[in-house]
Amino acid sequence: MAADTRSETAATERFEDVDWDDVGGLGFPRRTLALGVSSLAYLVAVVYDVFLTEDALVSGTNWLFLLTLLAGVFFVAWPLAENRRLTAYYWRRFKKNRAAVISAIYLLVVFVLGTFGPMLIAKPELNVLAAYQPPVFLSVDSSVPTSCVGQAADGLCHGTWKYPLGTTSDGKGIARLVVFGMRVSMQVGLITMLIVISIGTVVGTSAAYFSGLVDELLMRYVDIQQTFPTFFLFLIVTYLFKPSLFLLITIFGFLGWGGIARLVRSEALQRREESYIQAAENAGASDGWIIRRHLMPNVSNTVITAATLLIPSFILFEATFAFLGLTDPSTPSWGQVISSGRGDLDSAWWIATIPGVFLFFTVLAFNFVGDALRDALDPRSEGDA
Amino acid sequence: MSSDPLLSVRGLKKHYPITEGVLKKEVGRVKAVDGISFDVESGETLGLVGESGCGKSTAATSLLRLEDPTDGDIVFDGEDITEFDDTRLKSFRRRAQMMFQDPSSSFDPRMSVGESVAEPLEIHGMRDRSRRRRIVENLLERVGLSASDFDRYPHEFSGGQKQRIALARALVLNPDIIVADEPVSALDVSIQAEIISLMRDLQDEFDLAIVFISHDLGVVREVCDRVAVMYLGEIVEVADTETLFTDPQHPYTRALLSSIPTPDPTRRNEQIELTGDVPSPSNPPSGCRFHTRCPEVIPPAEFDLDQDEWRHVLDLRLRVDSGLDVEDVRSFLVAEGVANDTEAVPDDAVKRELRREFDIPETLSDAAAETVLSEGLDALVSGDHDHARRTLDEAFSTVCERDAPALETSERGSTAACHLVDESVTVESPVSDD
Repeated sequence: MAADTRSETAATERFEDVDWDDVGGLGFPRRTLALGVSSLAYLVAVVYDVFLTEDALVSGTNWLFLLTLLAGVFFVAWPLAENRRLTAYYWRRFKKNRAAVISAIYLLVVFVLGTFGPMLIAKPELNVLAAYQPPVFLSVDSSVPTSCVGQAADGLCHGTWKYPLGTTSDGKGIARLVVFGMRVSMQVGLITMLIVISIGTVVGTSAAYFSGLVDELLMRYVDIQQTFPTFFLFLIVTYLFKPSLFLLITIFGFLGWGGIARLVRSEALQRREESYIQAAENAGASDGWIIRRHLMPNVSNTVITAATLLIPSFILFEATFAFLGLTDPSTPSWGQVISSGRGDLDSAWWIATIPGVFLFFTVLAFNFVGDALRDALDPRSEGDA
Repeated sequence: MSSDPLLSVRGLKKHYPITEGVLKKEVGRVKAVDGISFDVESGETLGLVGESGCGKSTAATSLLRLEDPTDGDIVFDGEDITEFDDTRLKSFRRRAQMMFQDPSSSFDPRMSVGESVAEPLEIHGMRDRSRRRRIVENLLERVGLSASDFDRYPHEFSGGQKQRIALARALVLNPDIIVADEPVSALDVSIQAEIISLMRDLQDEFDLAIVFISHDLGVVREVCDRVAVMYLGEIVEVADTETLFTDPQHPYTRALLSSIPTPDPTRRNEQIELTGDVPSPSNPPSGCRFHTRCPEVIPPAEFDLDQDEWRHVLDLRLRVDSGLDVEDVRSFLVAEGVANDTEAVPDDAVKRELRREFDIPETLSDAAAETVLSEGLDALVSGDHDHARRTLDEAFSTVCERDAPALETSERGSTAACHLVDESVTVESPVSDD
């Protein structure tokens, strides 16, 4: 330690020795650099995929999902890893809520399975011969399935490991459907959330920071947008075009940020009065700098909490639309499976129930995590830690 | 540097419009700062003192152009900063820094204090992260903290430590001037002394000019070379600290000074008590803004009134001007048990109560003045408010109310804006002074 201090004094620099006509040069923080490089790579890949290939290799939704993952890495994971002490502090507060920790673990599993599962396992295939198979360890009257894939004994058809969660009326494995449904739910929840909070935060902080005319224009636009019936727009658009997940996400993302913008604005209005904002102005910071470096980080608690509570509502929207048959039938989602099993509830209860259970727990888990995050991040309770 | 002052403020004004309705029609103005002028030499500490709400902080933020001044010139090192464009304003920001009153809100809770101190360096283009860190670590040590505090967060420091860090942040760009807005007001007395001595050491070391804003005259006497006293958006007196404290020229300064607690019990009743409330800056009094509260307000030449008496008579007159409701006095007397209902209260009792309320004796020492006062009171009690008002206004008017005094330099070297300072003109012939 002593040797350390000495070597540091050797490299001491004093502020009064800085020649201000001579500073400058290029040198970005690592995060900015990495962010720039990956955004560029992402753009190049999207452009290549859209314009230079016959058939898009990756779907629009998947591109957006990749973007969401990138944003998660650079704006959540990276800062958390960089400020370990703050992260540890938040974690200590977060883990006080047992249910939220379990929920977070569950969501992590769903996220990982949903993101990588569909790459590793094949899409469930139509197979009439394997219809109505019960889940493993369970059995059902032999009359229910057309033919029993597992063991049939005493007039009962037993479940088999080939279809651990049973099959639907057209013989698709429910386990696979659930994994594919995870991806759909995660995509809908996370991508829409990203769109909503990006626009909402930028609009909300700008309105609060610039005030006056900018505030007036932005917030009046939000008022108008909030009265817009998104649901009917979605119905009309799906009627006019081929229904797709991409459409659902963009419609709800680009029309659903009004609430967040209002929330962020009211929070940012309070932050704007703090003297650290004035201190930054006094240091010569530009408007963009202040919004980016001071306002946005300081409203992030509100945003993160609101975002976690928004995700389940988007997941439920998607499930509802899928249940009503308003989404792309070739995208296997939980709502769709629930809908397909609702006629067979008395004979093959597992078809509708199993995805329903996953949907239920996912929504519940996001709510638990959201509540715990609010308690952990809320600066108003920082005093008692 | 030449003999020109480092910072020269001339006629600085900052008005906030009061607007109404959808079209934001301007219905009035809060004159937070209304034409102040002063100079700051390099290496000098100028104190700016005054009561809460007199415009000290607004003066600070507008002279740094954190808010755009409504009017006036601010010449810094020979250039008028009110005409700067963004680029030049940014380079001005490097040379003029500010310290804030509240140490708890002046640091971004999401940044380590090291990052906060280093932020100005980054803003002004120092991209080398490790160089910034070296500079800030060195600076933190010089303000009495340790280099390892770089990574700690604001909530982990005490108020005094935060003000040290604030000082470090103000210094990091090596400015020529620091505007310190009540930098020690939120601190304990012992910590105040530490911060003040630190500021002084650093000032000597770097030849810093400091504009020190405070309501605490004890601290100001300790720190400042010169002091400017503000009242309702105007500077009423500027003087060297010693001159100001030993020989204050302006009555307001005298009142402020007398409010400093003294340990000597025999001198306690020398306190000058100011009557009345601070008037609103949206509708400041005419003439000398202090005349509504001034204990030394100049009496009209035609009467020979005791200063105290005159002050009380003027208080009554100003109350009548702003609308004194005699019915209220009657109701009060009913509550006191003088009569059973307001109609039955005798006029004499009302007049007595009014005199008592305003500390006016039963009869004034000057007979002519007493006649006018009685006439005014009679009119007032009989319900003829306008007549009362006219009578009182005509007789009891003062030069302080009619003319705004200019800042006059007295032979002692202090500059005060008061008619009393240049007595020969004001008291002898108040009418010809127009």
